[in-house]
Amino acid sequence: MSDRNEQVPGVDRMRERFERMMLRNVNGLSYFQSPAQPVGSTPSETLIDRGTLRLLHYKPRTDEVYRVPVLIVMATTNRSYIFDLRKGQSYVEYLLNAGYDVFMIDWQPPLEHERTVGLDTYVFDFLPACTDRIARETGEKDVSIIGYCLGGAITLTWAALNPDGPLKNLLLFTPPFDMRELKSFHLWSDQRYFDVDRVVETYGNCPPDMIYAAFDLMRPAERVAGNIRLADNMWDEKYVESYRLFDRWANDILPLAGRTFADMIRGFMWQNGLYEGTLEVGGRIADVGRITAPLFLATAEHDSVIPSDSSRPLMDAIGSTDKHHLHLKGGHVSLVAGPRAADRLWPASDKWLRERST
Amino acid sequence: MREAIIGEKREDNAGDAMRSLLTQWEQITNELGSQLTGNEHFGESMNRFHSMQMQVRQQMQETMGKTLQTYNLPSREDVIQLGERIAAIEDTLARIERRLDDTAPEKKSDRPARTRKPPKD
Repeated sequence: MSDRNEQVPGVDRMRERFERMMLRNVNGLSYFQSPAQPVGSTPSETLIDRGTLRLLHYKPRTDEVYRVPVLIVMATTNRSYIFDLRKGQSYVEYLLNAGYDVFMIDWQPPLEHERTVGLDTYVFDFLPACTDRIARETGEKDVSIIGYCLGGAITLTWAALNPDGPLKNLLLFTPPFDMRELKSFHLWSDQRYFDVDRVVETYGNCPPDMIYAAFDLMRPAERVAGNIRLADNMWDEKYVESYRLFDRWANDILPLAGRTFADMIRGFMWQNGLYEGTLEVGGRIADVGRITAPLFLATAEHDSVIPSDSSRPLMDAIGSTDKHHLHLKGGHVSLVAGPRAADRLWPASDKWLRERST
Repeated sequence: MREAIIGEKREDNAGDAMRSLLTQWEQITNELGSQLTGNEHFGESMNRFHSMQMQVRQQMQETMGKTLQTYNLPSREDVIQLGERIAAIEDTLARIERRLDDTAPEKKSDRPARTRKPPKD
């Protein structure tokens, strides 16, 4: 029989195609029937659980850790498990194995009454509460902070207002800085037409769909093309698993506390306050020129959410003299959590950070 | 046999061509989307649409509020107020917890040593 197959080269190809077709059906059925995979499963202890703020401490994995603990500040609109998707695809796990003591702010959806939480609460209450708690937990006053996306902008604001604070190293992954470069979002929130007070008055907390509508419209084909690619690759279990994880995360969006949303629209978008050095929080000006902690900035070549041109000017504006910019292939999410992140961003950030963590 | 190989190749090409077409379509459509949303009128029209949505929602909220009041049921505002009171209790508890933490002895025994040095490259 096998001899016959060797004589007809198309048979192997046909067999492969048949197998893929069967696998497509089997995986397709299980895709719709099986429950979602567990995410964020690296063992951790909750140190703070107060409204929208939750601080996690991951169980160290090495007998010896670097002196300076690491705090990951997630974007307030997204779930933190993008950094801890599953075993083998987790930045948290990577850092733990590399010998860091890792903490993470895992934002929870703000409740209705938390619509009064403003940017000042993040900067003067939430972040200091976390750094204080980390200091108590570790006995170290220094902390390295990794801020992702909007979490990076909040960290920048906090750092600019606390230049003598506990910040030892600052790692920012795709932070929005020059808001003019967020073109569609900038036009969407155009001051002439966008009534931010009415939005907060009507909705309380800003619904996530509203924030992402502008991004979706900017890339209208993404979802459809993604689904077609999923059907095409349904035979590949790894592809399907990975797709499910990222799709779940992409749809698991958090609302933004009403007053924070209004503060960000006014301060970040309308004034471009971080970039211009005019952002006022709690009556004080957040000037990134006052930040002197070493900076590691990572941007992605195909980032359609926060284009690298928005983050790049930070390199000149920040007061740090020890600064490094890494511009990598990939998109906004694949930069930090895609299969290539484990070969690119994760080792690069570790190499930079470990020298500054003793 | 040659026909079979060519036929096979043609089928491969068809699959690849389909994928390539999909990528092209995605690029063109996204490009179009970017152009449309990059237009100055985009903000204006999006906000007109939002404004209309909010107006409908506000009217519905008012009507619903009156109906709930008629039936002596708590409104959204009442639930928010309850939430605020619970949050105040949570804050008080958090303050007590923090004070307890401050007075608790430090548990140093299970902590790893913070003496790690970077490997020499």
